[in-house]
Amino acid sequence: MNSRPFLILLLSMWIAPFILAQQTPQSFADAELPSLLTIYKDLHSHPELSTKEQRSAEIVAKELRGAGCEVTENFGKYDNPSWKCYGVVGVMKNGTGPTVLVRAEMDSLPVQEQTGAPYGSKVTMTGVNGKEVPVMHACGHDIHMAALIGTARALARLKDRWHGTIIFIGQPAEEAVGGAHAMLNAGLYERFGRPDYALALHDDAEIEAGKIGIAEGYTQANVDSVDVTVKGIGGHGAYPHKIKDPIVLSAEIINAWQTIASRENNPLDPVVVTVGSIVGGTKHNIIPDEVKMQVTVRTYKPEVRERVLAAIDRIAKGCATAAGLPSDKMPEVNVLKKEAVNATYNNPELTKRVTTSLKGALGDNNVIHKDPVMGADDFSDFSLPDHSVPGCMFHVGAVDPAKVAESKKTGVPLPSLHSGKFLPLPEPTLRTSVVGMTSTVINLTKK
Amino acid sequence: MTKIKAVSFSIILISILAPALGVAQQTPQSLADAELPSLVGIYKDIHTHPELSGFEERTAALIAKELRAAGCQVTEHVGKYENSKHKAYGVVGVMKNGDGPTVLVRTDTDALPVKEETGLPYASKVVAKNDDSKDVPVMHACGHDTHIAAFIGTARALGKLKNQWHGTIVFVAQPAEEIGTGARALLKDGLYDRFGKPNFALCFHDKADIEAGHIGVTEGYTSANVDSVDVTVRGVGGHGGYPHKIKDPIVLAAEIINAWQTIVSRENNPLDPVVLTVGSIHGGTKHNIIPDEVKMQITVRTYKPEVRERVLADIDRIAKGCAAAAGIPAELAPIVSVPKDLVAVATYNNPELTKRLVAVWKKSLGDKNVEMVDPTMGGDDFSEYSLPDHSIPAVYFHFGAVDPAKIAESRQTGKELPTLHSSKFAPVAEPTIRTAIIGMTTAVLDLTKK
Repeated sequence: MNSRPFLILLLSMWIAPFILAQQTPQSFADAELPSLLTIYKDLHSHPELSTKEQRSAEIVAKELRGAGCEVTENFGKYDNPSWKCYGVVGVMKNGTGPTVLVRAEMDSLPVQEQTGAPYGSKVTMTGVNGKEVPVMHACGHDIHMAALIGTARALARLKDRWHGTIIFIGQPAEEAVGGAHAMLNAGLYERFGRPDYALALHDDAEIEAGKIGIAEGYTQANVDSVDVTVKGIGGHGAYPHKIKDPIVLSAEIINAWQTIASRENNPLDPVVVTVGSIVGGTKHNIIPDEVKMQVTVRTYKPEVRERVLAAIDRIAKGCATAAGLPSDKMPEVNVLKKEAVNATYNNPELTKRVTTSLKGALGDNNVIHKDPVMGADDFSDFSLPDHSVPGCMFHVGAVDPAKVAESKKTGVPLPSLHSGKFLPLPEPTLRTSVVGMTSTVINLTKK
Repeated sequence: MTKIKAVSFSIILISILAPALGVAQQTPQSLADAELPSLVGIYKDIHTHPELSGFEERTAALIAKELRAAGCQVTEHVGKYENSKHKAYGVVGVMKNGDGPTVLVRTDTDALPVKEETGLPYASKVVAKNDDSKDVPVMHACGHDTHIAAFIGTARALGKLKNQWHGTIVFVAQPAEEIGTGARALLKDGLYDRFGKPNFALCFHDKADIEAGHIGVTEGYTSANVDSVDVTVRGVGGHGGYPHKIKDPIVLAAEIINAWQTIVSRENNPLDPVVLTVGSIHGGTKHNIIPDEVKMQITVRTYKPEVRERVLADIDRIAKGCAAAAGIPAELAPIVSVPKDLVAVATYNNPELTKRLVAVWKKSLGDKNVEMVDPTMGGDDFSEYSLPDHSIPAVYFHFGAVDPAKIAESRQTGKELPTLHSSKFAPVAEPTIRTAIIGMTTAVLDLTKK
């Protein structure tokens, strides 16, 4: 009998554990990359609007199951009972130890894709206003989902390196705001355990692919939407002395609001008050009865948030009083509670640990400081209002380094997130995401 | 017998002389009284059947018939509009009475897209299609129906008083006053070439804050230049959370609106009235997106031509200056567009002519019933008939339309009376129309007296 097959078998039996022992997040990411790229491109071609992420959720659920998670689908409860929530929860258990939550968003945006990619989206869907709108993954949530699946696959095979529980979250409706709240509202922490840490990553449209940006403390803002109705007493445009003009009053209010940031605020506390829309009147020669404004307010600290919202109200009413409006015609200032988002707070201790593990996995040069922004993400909800669940979100570069260099040279800005021209460079972006998240989770749960 | 004969003779003599005596005794006052029932009938009919600017078909036909009956030579369908949707419903009635001055008497004929809420038995229930083919309620909320009735009454009176005047009266029933295009359309169609250039132009307007029975008039400017200005303030839009990466057109528009207030308060001679009203402002779609532009619609009211020019230039200069201060690049400077034609040119009451007519009215209506009233910043295209250089002396006077008891009540309670263009404006018909006829007839008689 030929003994060679036996020898080969013996040899492979001997080598196999050795190879396994040498496996790393990096080698797994490389090995899984072709499969993850296929998943990414499929998701990119089939984007779904917020609260309509049925297909994406099915893929995430199937893949998490494939990676060895115990998966719960359709988890979550929106405030609007007629919406179905497509939240996915995949639990990967590996003995006793810390619980880490890893979150990826699944929804996309009403944006017309203009990237020219062969896997570009041609999808249209019925939008919130009942109109048919083009749909695109213009915020990179497709990268996040593929990276979540890659991380789950890697952690499943690296079980000898960690212990505890990983809760993988496929979260719907991040863009529309309300997805994280819907899942927590349905008892996420009661059913699957309250995590010791919550992690998320986001692709970044300014950082080179291969690098990760991170910052301690507040990195994204509290967002409040405020509706303001400035009332006047309308009449004929030729008789200004017989009316109270709500348009001039609105102009005064808008200008006075500028002092909230410039004069009332500690210059070290970032504040944005943006009037995004102003609508009043129908024609040249009729002074209208009212003007409506929609304001977005961005802050970090809760006490700054409260003060700014109070200042908006006070200034509007003060200007109206100064203009001689009677007390029954004071401006109406409504803060839309349901649209509010809390600031994302990167727990400093946790962020230091995450930074260390990212540097270990990617090299010191590839982990950079990223300035906080006044954008928002409802990932903050997973930390709970008192930040009692330490959370950290880091930003994975998605741009071809050559393009970053060119933009710096020419001064022409790169396509931003939410732009129809934003297209991550998939391979290095995905690879860095999987390596970064996997090594971070392992660091937090290591034996 | 002789006694009987003598009595019979006297009766015969009296009956023969009576008509002649009666004619000699007829006055604008007595004719106004006699015609009033018929004119109030016409007024109520027109009030019930208002027509929008550019669509005054029925009203024009009615006026043409009445002017013809009063002895005028009538031409219909006078006018040349730029808006092809509007048909020419101008009516010109010429009453000739030998050599003498030519006097133009004008009424306006159009109504407003207002839903009547007066509760009158003859209130309008009319709904008509506007220029955009949308159904809108229609109402004579500006009293042009009282003008028309008094205009017909004046023609009737002058037709019967021909022994007291000489010359030519050109009765002009003008459409489309409310949108400011009617007078121009008539002049463009050769009004003065075809029917003669008048020596004087007169018109009247009811007034919602003067007692019925009174006439009010202003010397000099009485209604304003009206300009419509469209402004587009441009910025560089973007995400509401990143103000440093954009140029915000809403804050800029607010700064411009506030800076415009100094056109009146700091740049203008305080004795020259100026109104600058931003009637509409529209920009943006939601809270967290900074829009690329904000659109504003402005009405500008002035009297003097040089003030008008300066104010329009100031609007442009301030908008562009504020934009430059905000760091907007030159190619995104605000677009300030002033239409070529004014909506209305200021009406200038020739002071000499006004003084002359005030004396006439004091005599015909009584000293107490003639008031000097403040000018307004409203507009009326009657000004067109004076020509841009005011070379045709003109007077635009007001006649009161309000029950004196209501004026007293309003003064006592401080509650405002319904204004012109209000859905609740209801002139008290008889005394209003009567005073208008007497005012216009005595004015024309004085200007053409033998």
